[in-house]
Amino acid sequence: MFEGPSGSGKHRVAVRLAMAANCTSPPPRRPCGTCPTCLQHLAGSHPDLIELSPDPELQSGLISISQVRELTASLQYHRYNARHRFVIIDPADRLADPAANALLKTLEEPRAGTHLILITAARSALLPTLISRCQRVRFGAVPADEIEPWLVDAGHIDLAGAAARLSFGAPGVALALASGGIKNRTKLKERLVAVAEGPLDGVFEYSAALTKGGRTDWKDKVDLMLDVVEDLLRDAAHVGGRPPGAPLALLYPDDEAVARRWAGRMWPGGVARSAESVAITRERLRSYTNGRLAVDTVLTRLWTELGLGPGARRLVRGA
Amino acid sequence: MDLYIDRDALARGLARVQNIVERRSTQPVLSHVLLFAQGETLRLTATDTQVAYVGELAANVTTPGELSVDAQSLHAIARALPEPTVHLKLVAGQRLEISSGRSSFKLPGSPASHYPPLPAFDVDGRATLEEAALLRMVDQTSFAVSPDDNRYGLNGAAMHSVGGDRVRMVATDSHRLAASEAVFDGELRVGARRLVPRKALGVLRRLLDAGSTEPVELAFGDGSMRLTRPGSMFWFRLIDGEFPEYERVLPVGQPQHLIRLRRQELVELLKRVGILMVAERVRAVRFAFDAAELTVSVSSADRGDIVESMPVELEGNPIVAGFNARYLSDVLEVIDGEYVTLALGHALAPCIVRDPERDDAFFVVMPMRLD
Repeated sequence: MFEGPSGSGKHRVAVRLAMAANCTSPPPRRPCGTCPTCLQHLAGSHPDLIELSPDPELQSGLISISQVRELTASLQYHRYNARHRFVIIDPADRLADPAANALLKTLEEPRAGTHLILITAARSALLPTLISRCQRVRFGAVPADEIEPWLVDAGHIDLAGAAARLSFGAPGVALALASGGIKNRTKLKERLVAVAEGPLDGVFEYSAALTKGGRTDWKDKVDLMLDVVEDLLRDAAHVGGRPPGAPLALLYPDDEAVARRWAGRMWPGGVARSAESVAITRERLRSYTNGRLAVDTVLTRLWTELGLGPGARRLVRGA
Repeated sequence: MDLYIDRDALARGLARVQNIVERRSTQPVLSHVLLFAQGETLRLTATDTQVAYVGELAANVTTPGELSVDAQSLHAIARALPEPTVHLKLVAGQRLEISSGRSSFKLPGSPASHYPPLPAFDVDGRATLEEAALLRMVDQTSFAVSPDDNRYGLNGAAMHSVGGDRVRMVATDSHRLAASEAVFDGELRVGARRLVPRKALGVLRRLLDAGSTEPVELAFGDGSMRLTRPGSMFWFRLIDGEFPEYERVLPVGQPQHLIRLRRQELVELLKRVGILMVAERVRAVRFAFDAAELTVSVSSADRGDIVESMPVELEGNPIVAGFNARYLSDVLEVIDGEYVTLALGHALAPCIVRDPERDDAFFVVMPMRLD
């Protein structure tokens, strides 16, 4: 079981592991990345590399029991031509409960030469019976000062610093940010600050616009918005928690004024309550599909705690 | 690639391919047929990575070459073309031009290098046998293959040498067992069991010709099996599992009760008994064997009763046993002799069914407890 935050390279390492096990080049160069076996693994077309992820045709976004049955039926065959067969289940936390149960026997006693890799960023969402049958491999955060030169090497010179800082140690996230994601994020952040500090009507309008269409249309946008809220709260907490005059290490150094303003209004209680609201919203969005209501809730909480918009009264819980 | 080929031969070749290619695949290339033209032949290759087919068709090749295209489209086109001769040509942009008379199609293709290569394997066993004899083995055993995907070792028919010049195919779902043998030529290690999956058995049943005495060659190795006939080759991935040591449960020595009866008569009788059986609920049917008569009865409060008898010859004492009627009819349907024998040790011992005229097949049906 490869566990760790998204973008920490779990899937990439799983494919590389399969390549290394099956590469046809001589040992010190495995995986070579150039032999037909490696190329088929990279293209996802090798018959002995089986990937299982949620069926896009299913509205539930889950890996269904029929997908698992199809998998177990195909595993009873001998391998096609590789030395090892790999099954990558990503994300394993999207296995429906019956699907997970149908997998238990295979997971416990795979045929010799067959390896199952379960990938997850949310281990706690997995059945304990699955977890107990796996060997855990943790993917931790990579220090920003290692990610930054890596991004520079990949040609993202201008944005490397900011992307490394905002990735929280996940190289995949950093790469996505550096290759354009950061611009989206900056735009979203500016809009979000304006909304949170503006009139309440604006909060609801923004929430409605963000969650237009079906879940698949808005899920990524909402996740990103929540990431940005968390970043801003983290910067506010950073400013709030430091002695005056101490050097700052902000996620958004250009927005020091915002961080100071937010810290002034909400540190410490408001920041904590807003962050808690973000966490609860994330949990709800895992299963709860009324996105608009969820976003309304988290943004109203933020707006209330900030108390900057016209007509906002500070409604501090428990006061 | 540039060639001329007979339209009907091409359509027939592509028809074989249709059963193999994947219709809904995550890998689009698996819905393709690979065309390879060289010398005087056009070779067709199709695979879903569990079964592969390679067929050769006579063609007039002017420029050799290879390319893969959607198998279903090419088949539909080949069947519909107006003239008996078809011109196939690789044109710019990896496209296949198909023309015949005044009609011309262009299909998008992909380079042959994107097509999964058939795995090469080291052969460690060979058997050559008559096509009809192989089909007979498949037909006589595939009904007994377990439908339960979770029982790896039972999801196919095992092939193994039984010593001498006989090869046996055997299948079981643990309630009944079917074994059928054929004479072969070649080398097979005694004891090595190759598990031929259910899907492969289905392909063989469609492909093999019951009227053909031509030899077919089977080659085994590295978890796969190859079947070669003149002009075509099939490759099957085998099951990675242990087939049970079924020999240990077969009764040895003289049976206590040996019954001989007319096969067709019992088939008809069991059909009538079946009228009162509910498909989803298996019930034991009572078989009472007397010196000269078999009385079959089943009774149920909600469905009704039936009693029927037929003449039999019995060696040994009278006996009463319960059977799943469908298991017996399945067996009777794959035997073609006029008579069958049932051999029983006691009422709950495995019952061996045979054609008394032949020694190349036997069937085992486990009795059921009568309520």
